[in-house]
Amino acid sequence: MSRAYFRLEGVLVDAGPARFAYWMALRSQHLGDRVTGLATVVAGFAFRPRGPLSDGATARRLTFGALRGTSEDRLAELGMDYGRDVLLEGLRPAGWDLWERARASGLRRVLVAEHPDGALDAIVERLAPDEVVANRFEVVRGRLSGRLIDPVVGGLDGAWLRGHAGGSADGCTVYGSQIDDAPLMSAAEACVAVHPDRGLRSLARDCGWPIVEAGA
Amino acid sequence: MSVADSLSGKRILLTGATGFVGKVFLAFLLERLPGVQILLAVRTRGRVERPLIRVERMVATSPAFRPLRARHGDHLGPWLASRLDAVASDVEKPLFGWTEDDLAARSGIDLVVHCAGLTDFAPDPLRALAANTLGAHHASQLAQRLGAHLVHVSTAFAVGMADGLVSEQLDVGVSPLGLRFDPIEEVRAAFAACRESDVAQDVDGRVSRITERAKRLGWANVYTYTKGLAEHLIGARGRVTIVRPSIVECARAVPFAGWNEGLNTSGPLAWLISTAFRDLPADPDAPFDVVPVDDVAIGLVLACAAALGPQPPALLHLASGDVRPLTLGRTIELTGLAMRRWARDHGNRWDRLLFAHLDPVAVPAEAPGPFAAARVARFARWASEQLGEGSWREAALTTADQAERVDRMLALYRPFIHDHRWVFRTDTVRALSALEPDPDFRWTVGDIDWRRYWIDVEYPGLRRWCIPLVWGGTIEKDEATSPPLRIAAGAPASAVAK
Repeated sequence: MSRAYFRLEGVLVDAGPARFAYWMALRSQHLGDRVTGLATVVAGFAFRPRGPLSDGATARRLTFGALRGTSEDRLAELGMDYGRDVLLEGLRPAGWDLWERARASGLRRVLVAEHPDGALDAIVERLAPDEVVANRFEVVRGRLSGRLIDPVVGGLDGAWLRGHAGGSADGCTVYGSQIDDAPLMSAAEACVAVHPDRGLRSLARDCGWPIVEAGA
Repeated sequence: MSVADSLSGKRILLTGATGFVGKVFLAFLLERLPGVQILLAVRTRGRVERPLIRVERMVATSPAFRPLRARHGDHLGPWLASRLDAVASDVEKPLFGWTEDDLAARSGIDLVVHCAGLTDFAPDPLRALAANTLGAHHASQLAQRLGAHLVHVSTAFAVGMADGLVSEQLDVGVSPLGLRFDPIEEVRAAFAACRESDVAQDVDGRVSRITERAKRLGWANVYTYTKGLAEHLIGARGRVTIVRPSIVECARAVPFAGWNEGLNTSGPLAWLISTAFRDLPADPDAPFDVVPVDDVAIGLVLACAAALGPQPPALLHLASGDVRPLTLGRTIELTGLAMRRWARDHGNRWDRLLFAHLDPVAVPAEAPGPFAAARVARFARWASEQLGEGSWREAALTTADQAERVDRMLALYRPFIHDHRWVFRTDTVRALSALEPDPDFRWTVGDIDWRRYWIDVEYPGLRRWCIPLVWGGTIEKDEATSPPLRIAAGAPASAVAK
């Protein structure tokens, strides 16, 4: 069965994972944790790893390190609020339109999210994807260790895509919006750059990938 | 053999049916065990009041009986008449004040289930000794006279200040601190201490004096002392099963999710952290052993069935900590999350601002923050002395009073939320449940999702049924049925009214 992989962040909603980390850090139980959490988010944003660590996975690990020590209860309860108030409210019409077209075409729709699964309930309920691939936190005695469980979404590549699609990326279409999505997109049979960032836009032009702009 | 089979055709004398646990247990018996006949021991106002009047009033207006009222409608009175009766009783009197004729007329009782008692942490010790300690003693004597088995509802905290894993055993005559004592002599001495001239007219003085006695033996307060003494008084007698629930909280399903009654442990704490008070002196890693009231009812039913079997258990805990632990730190955080949700859905702007940005946290009692209740009280008291007559002084005095009230409350709770860590073993109830074929009577506390329970059931239940009592508000009651419920055989109430 043909599959359509939709990147949540950028394609379907505005908010990126840093926003989630910031949003949660601001709502830490202890005031001290808010300060350190916000500082971690800012540091993750400012410090862009270079060389072999310059992939999206490392960036995600840094960003979500801000949530170290957060309880599973807090993640679930506030993640629900975030999903409803931020993700659902920020659903982008062009992305939604592509999503619906994929549904109408009978494609198996896979939602690929850098956000952790605990924040996705509301959007999953709305989109009703066939499958969700999202980041997951390691939990130790009811609290987040600050580490993500592999594979980390943000660093997915062609090998992952082929493995996920059953050995071949034939029949797969990837809808991406960031330069970090390029490894996944270039491995797919077809790809679409939706609301692309500067890097992806440039790459899409060079490769002749279709580009869908906001409001299109 | 199932619980329903074990109890079918049996007659149960139940005390304390007007209390929180008693009501739910009664509703359980009525709804799920049609073969059981129930005799309610109720206190009447004077000799002229019919004992059933109090039961009728309770069934007609208590939300605990909503499902029964909805199911039976007009036919509830005749239906109840076929299931229960009531007898005037005073648990503070020997043999409940029954005469020999009463005893003869009430033969054929198989079980006495004693739920009656005071549950305040610091009641007047004279009342607590009479109700909790002598009440159990009288229930035991009455059960012996009736040839019945006694199921006595105590509390898990009767174990006293002995930390750690608490087994389901009672060493009669050995206090929680390991001191040998004579329970009968201790009860006599406690009564005598309450009647000493300097405290005879002073309830607070009595509370202090008895609390000192309690602590010397290893009980934290008047409540656990009087319940503990009761266990030691009756524990050595045959045909007694002591049931020890931990902190009894809102119902999961029966009579309906969230129902609660009175001010129990979590209510005042939830109220406290739903005010501007954010720092709760508590040990975040200490177990907070909570069990929903309908699970207590199931545990009681299992205990009753086992009590009539060949090997009646002597003591069993109804608790959650050994199979589904919940810590105080988690409870405080869940309460904060529940308040946040409540404020979003029902609160005003101030509530939303407060609860969205300041979460309650556990702090060590040894290192209170600048806004600890005692400090606030001292500061407000000092400020009131510096200010002249006027609204600012009034405000300072009010703040001082409230902070002192909070400080007193925290002192009462401190042994349970800060100083001790108990884990109550529940081997017996789990073993009984494992043999039970009917899922309605299984002990499923181990399956509770505390997050969902606390946020969706417990906190909304406390807000509705308990917290208003803290600030002197009123709790909703159901409208009495019209025509009035009358528990009597014959035609339905409406036909009688016509």
